Amino acid sequence: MGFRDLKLLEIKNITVTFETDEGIVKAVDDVSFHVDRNEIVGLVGESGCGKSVTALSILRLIPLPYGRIEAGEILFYGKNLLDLNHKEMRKIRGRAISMIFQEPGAALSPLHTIGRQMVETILLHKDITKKNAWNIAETWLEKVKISDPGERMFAYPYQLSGGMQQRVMIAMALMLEPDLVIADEPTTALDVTIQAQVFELVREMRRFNTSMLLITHDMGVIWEMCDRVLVMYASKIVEEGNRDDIFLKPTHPYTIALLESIPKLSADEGRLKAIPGQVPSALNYPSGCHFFDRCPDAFDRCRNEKPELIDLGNGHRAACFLAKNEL
Amino acid sequence: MDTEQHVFLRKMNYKQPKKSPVLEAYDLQTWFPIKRGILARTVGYVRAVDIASLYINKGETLGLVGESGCGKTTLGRTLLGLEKARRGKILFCGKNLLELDRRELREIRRRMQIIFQDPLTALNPRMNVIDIITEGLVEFRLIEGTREDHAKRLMNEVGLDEEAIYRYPHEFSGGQRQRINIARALSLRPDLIVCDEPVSALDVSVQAQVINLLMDLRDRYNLSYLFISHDLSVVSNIAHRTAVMYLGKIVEYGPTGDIINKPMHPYTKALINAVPGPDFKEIEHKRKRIILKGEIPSSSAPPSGCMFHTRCPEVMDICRERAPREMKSGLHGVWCHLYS
Ligand SMILES: Nc1ncnc2c1ncn2[C@@H]1O[C@H](COP(=O)(O)OP(=O)(O)OP(=O)(O)O)[C@@H](O)[C@H]1O
Ligand SMILES: Nc1ncnc2c1ncn2[C@@H]1O[C@H](COP(=O)(O)OP(=O)(O)O)[C@@H](O)[C@H]1O
Ligand code: SF4
Ligand code: SF4
Ligand SMILES: [Mg+2]
Ligand SMILES: [Mg+2]
Repeated sequence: MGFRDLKLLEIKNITVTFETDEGIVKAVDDVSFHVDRNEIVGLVGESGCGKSVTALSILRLIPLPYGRIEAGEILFYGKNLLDLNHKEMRKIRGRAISMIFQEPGAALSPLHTIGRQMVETILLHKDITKKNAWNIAETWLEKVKISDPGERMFAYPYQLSGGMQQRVMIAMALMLEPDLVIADEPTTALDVTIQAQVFELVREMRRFNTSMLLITHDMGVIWEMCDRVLVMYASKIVEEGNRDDIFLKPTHPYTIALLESIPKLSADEGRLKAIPGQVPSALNYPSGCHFFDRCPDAFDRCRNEKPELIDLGNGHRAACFLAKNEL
Repeated sequence: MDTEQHVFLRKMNYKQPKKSPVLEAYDLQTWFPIKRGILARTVGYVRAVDIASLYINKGETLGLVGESGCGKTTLGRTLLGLEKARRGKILFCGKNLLELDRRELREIRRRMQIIFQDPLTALNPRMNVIDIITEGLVEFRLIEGTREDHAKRLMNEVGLDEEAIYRYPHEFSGGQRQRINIARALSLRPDLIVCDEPVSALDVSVQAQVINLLMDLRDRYNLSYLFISHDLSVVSNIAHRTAVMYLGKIVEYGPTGDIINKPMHPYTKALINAVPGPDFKEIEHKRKRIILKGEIPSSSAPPSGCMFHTRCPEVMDICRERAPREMKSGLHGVWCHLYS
């Protein structure tokens, strides 16, 4: 099998735990998925369900010593990232896989100019002159539609608006032409009209053959951006499939409820369909199906038995005892 | 009353202009000074609210949408007297707020309440639920029965477990904390509640629960809401009428159905089109992708003429020079040269 045949990213059965004062928390439980070349995969779910921990574990950024990847494999072009030493891992981060965070403030240093930060990052990974690195950085600011890129290179982050900082982050994540970008809620902090600008930018970025794992709690964002969707609930992937299947043929009761509860633009006022209860704490997930106590379709079997993902064809899978393969 | 009749009556209610306004505000202007240097000289003003008028009928919800920093919170706070307007007039049940004596003002403070975005910072972490929701009741001597009974009644009303009466805010989830805030606001039997982004910090599934609760309470007690949100989808589900704000000014207002189906102002159109997600058939017109260019200008140096002209896809020469005037047809009003 040649290099080109290898899957870009394949996560196999990873489980991540945290030691807390109140006990051991399983934040990610036996999660598997893959991201193909030139594909944008969305990971959606409510807060606390394990999205960020999943993302951080790919780059092995789980906070030590309390966090631990207990089991599983993270195959990047077939190579298990969990087997790499720190030096090898550092090479992967930023270069082959880069990350965009929700808060640009978390990744941009307030003490240095945009230009300096970009150039230093480039020089860390590429053996080129400072002048060349400066040119690359400036070109990327232009590509993400920052006006006067030459001048902005000398700006400090606080001199830029939130939307512009987020675009700088995107430029930094893309400028080393990584194979995979992991974006954790990249537009959540932005206003809708600025968010729309970022969507447009990311759509254009597909020309650069970059794949993306896009994490969000917003089904609308998924619709705008993604080819394929992973729905996560309480540490597990409960449904996956291509975007249209998830929106038009949602199968897992959680996916259905999530889609129904979103307030839609509507000309008439009226009650929303809410999901009763709340996301359980990771300390006491139900012993059977994790959605058991909120599920409108729950029955006896769901109380103590955990449903596995069932194949529904066309890459569509759902983890619910009621899901049936009708093909 | 069956629901259909209910919905019909509710619609009739907001089709009546200024039927019985709880609140009216005319030409409000709230600016914040920008101070510089050791002498703290005023070098300019943030024009947070720059000439805005509105009214809210009894039992009606007015939605207020706009992007971050456009002045929504400041407008809400000005209406409640928490910020001082440098210009304008506010009438509460027909009474001019600026002409009331202390006793009358105190009574009006009771009748207008506010619910904030971040439920945790709004709650005193050292007070338990019973103290939080009966504090105002004690102050205004409105307790019926024992304090426990009254608190439990309110907790049932907002869907909280009455067993939790002695618990502290940090022991509750985000959605439950927002219910505590709602119970506290409700306790004083207000006529008007300013809801400032009440669900923005909550998960979608919990958002829907809290919005439903707010709608139920409104209908049960004939409450009026000013419902502030940056999320047009949320507003469209709860508000009878909606006002759209940009850089301190209201640029369009009208019955929510008209705003969603027949938006007139290019900014309103852009906001509707920027809502992510598939086209839902509830909307009549076909949404297209309009992407506004550029950033939101600073409200300390707003653009000349129409303040939206730096980003407007339909900008004309006149827009840079002259500010548009209000064009009104029925309950729908807009400030844009395209219609003058
Ligand atoms: N106390 C204050 N002093 C100075 N400037 C202020 C003050 N309060 C608000 N502002 C400014 O007034 C403008 C409007 O602010 P406001 O909080 O009303 O906006 P908003 O529409 O509620 O925004 P958001 O959606 O972010 O809550 C902003 O430019 C803000 O920075
Ligand atoms: N550093 C940590 N220590 C302990 N628990 C954590 C830590 N980070 C995350 N968790 C727990 O892991 C679960 C998943 O968190 P996270 O991945 O951040 O959720 P999401 O990104 O989906 O909102 C939550 O229950 C959270 O409390
Ligand atoms: S397995 Fe049972 S509880 Fe879980 S989602 Fe399916 S029906 Fe609901
Ligand atoms: S007045 Fe001119 S610039 Fe302003 S919204 Fe209308 S068309 Fe656009
Ligand atoms: Mg997260
Ligand atoms: Mg605000």
